[in-house]
Amino acid sequence: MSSSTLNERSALRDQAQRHGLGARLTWLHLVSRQVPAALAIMAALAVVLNIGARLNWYSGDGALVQQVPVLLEAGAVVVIAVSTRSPFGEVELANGRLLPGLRLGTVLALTAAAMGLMAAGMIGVHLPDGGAALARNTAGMTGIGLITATILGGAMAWVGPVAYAAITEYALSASWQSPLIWAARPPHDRGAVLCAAAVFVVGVVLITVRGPRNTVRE
Amino acid sequence: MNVEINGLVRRFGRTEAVRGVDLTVDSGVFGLLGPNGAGKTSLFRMMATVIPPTSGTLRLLGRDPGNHHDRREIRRRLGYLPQNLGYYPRFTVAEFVEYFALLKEMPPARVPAAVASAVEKVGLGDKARARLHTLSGGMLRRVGIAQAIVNNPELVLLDEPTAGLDPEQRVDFRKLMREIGETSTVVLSTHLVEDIGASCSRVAMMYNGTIAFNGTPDELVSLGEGRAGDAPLERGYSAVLAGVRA
Amino acid sequence: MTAVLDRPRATAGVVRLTVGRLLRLELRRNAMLLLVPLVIAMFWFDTYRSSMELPAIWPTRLLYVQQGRPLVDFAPFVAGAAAWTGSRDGRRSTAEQVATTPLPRWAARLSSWAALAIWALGAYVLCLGLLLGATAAQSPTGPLPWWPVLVGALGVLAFSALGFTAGVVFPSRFAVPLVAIAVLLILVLTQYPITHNATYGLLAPTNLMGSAGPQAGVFSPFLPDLSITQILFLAGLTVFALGAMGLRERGGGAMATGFAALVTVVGLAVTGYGVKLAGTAQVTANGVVISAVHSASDDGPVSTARVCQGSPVQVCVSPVYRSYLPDLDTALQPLLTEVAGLPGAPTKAEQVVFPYHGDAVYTVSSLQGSPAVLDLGLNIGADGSTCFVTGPKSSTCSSVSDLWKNASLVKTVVLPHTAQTVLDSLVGGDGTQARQAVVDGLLTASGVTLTDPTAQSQLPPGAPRVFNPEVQVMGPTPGSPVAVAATRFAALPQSERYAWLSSHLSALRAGQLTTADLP
Repeated sequence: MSSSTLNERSALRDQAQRHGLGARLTWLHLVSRQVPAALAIMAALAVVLNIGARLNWYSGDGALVQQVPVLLEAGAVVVIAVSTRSPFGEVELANGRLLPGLRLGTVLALTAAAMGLMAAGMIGVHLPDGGAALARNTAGMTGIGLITATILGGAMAWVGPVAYAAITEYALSASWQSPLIWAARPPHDRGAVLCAAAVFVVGVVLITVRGPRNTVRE
Repeated sequence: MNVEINGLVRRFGRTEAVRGVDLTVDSGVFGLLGPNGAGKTSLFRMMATVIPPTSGTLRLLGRDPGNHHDRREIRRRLGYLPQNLGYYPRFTVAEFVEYFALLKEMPPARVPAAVASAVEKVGLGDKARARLHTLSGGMLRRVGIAQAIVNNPELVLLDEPTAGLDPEQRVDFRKLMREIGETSTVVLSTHLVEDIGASCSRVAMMYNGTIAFNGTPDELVSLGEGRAGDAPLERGYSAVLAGVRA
Repeated sequence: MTAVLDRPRATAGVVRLTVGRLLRLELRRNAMLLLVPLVIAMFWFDTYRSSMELPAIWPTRLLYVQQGRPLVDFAPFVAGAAAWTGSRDGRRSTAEQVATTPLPRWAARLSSWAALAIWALGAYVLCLGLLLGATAAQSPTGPLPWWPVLVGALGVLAFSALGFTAGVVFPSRFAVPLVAIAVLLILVLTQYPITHNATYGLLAPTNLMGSAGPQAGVFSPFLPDLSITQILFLAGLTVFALGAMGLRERGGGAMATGFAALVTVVGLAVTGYGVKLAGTAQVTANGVVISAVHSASDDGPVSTARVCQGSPVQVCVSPVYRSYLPDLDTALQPLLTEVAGLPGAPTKAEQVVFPYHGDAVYTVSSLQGSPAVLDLGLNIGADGSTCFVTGPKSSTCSSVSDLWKNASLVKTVVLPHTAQTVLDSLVGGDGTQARQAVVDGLLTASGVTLTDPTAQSQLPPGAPRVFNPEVQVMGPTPGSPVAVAATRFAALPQSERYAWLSSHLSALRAGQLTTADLP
């Protein structure tokens, strides 16, 4: 066997090893953030969304039609926000060259999972604002949760989305039309989509670059 | 005797962490040595009344910790520092020690003086108002010692108390233990044989859930004669381990 | 040394002092302290701002308090902070250390909860105090409904206890935020109307059907029945949650366990009693009646002398609404002048309670008694905004509060419906063309703009049919005999119309006249 063939095989083996290690690292990172439990909770919320539709929680023309789905979306969002908390603290920061990428991947994956699971919760039932509004609301509130995590730390990151959800409930009752309260706007409203997307992007960038505030030795 | 243990067993599922330990401890400083997984922490947790034994008898300060009233009385006279100290980051040093003083049902009028004294004894007098999350690991360990001794306990259980302490602090700690040992029973679990040599009047070694040695530090040293090792107690420790593994 | 030294057992006084000192320590370091600014900000944003837009009448200004809005501002964060505090030992790995201490775990936990509850209640009292103080500075009228304020306080306590116990039981990082969301979800879901067969939903302080409305206590005494029931329910929940937490502690001794069991059972019993009471509730025009706690003294009207103005027919309102009288009188006098003194015409217009949970939006009116009195229920003090059609292609919108301060809008929402009530009663209904023409003519003369029934055909295809019977009256088809006669009748001088009515009213009622008989 020629040396170049040996070198190729060695390079391929190294690459495969790296990929295997990368997958392993990603899995361990996800477990450390309790992502499996987070996914289970989101799935449960999706089931509640579906059951709520069958119980006519979202029928009629009152504010309740939008209020309850927003709250269930907020439930998924607070799970994402709180999962940013690192159980390792400074040790991870000192060793975390790959950490920003892991954080980015985790947040994006969880947000996508939240949207997907909640969309699955709509199977067989009708949500008045549909999947587009669900995706928009989830992304926007996730951005708020991530921003809150960088300010207050992962464990308290729920405060921002809960406050926003409470304000949204008020706004829906009072028929506000500000695009900053994107849930109160029609599903394909450009201003609302832009606002929600902007907040999401800011949150993702902050959590990727800075990570959650390290409230020491949590 | 302040600690009387007969045939003590503790199982966790299928694992027998403590297998028929017999031990008596009177006042003074008593050391507990052993490799990782020997059962020291499980034995400690039983003595601290955190977990009950699976079988065997355990009497602490002449009382049966299996009885609710006796257990409460024991806990009033007990000081415990676990291997992994938990704490509330926002509390100050004094508040954290005060909190445990109150949980130990110390007479409230005596609490402030007791807290100040305990904090001074561990050398954190100038850090009394510092929040716990601002302290180093060694300082946190000393806070843990302070909360263990704040109620002038008759039985003090310290699991790895000198972890994170610098040499000078370890010397101070050993002196403190000898002082406390004059009127109380101190049981020290440690990997550092120097702590045993400097503080303890008696020492036991655990291996695989049983007591492999029970005697004085000098007796342990004598077992190690002719063996290789950096220090006499280490040589004795190795000799005992070799004996039980053989 | 002897194994046991004599130490005195902790006396009850020492235990109290210990728990008191623990409480003091917890008060300084409680997580709720950090969230107090946030809940105050939420209260300001939601309840305070909205309340201050309503008129300075006590039951109106506290309408949102009646609807449990402060609880929506507070409860999610209080419950979240409580879950955070309750899960402290689990999160900080201090469970073993505290397990080796003699003070019953339940007592130590209760001091943590008490500290949180004190901060939460303190913030609630501060916020309500600010609202009440700001209102008092505006010299409000009407009776102050205290009961909903108490219900809100009990609600804060109950959610703090439930959240705390949830944190103790589930010390997971996800439990805290999910508790907050669950509380918000429960409060939102329970806002909405109950069914007639199941009134248990009234137990929720946020249930809109349970609110007595912005005129509570003005025309009849405020009924505390539902508030009492809610307080029992919430107090029971609080006690149950705290007792259940105590039951969970193992190794506390038979006495402690027994006491915790007793507390849990008492809490359950009180909660269950509240549920049972709620099941017997009846929603009436004056509020919710629950017979087991109802006092007969609350059944009669509140007797206060009305404030009246106007001539030839007086318009009278409750002194609480004195400031609205001039515009009301201006809106109604043209109508009342047209019919004053005629047989069956009202001798007085008097304000009565507006049915808050009824179908009407602005006004209800009816003629009662002999001599006839025009009873007017006016939805003064309602929240929200309203829009109504003013023409075929025009509409106007206003907040309900501003509506009642605008003379022309008062006329729009009061006059049409009231005029139709009075005139239909006067002429005996619209069974004949002559009666129809007289009614339409008098409506026009009183200032009511009749809606052209053919206007809908002028709208673009697919445009919604818009007609609000509360503020609009459908007129005759233009050019029809009724329309012609009505126009002619309305164009007469008022004295001539009155004279004709005086002499022809009986015949008109008897159906003996045709449109040709109208002047």
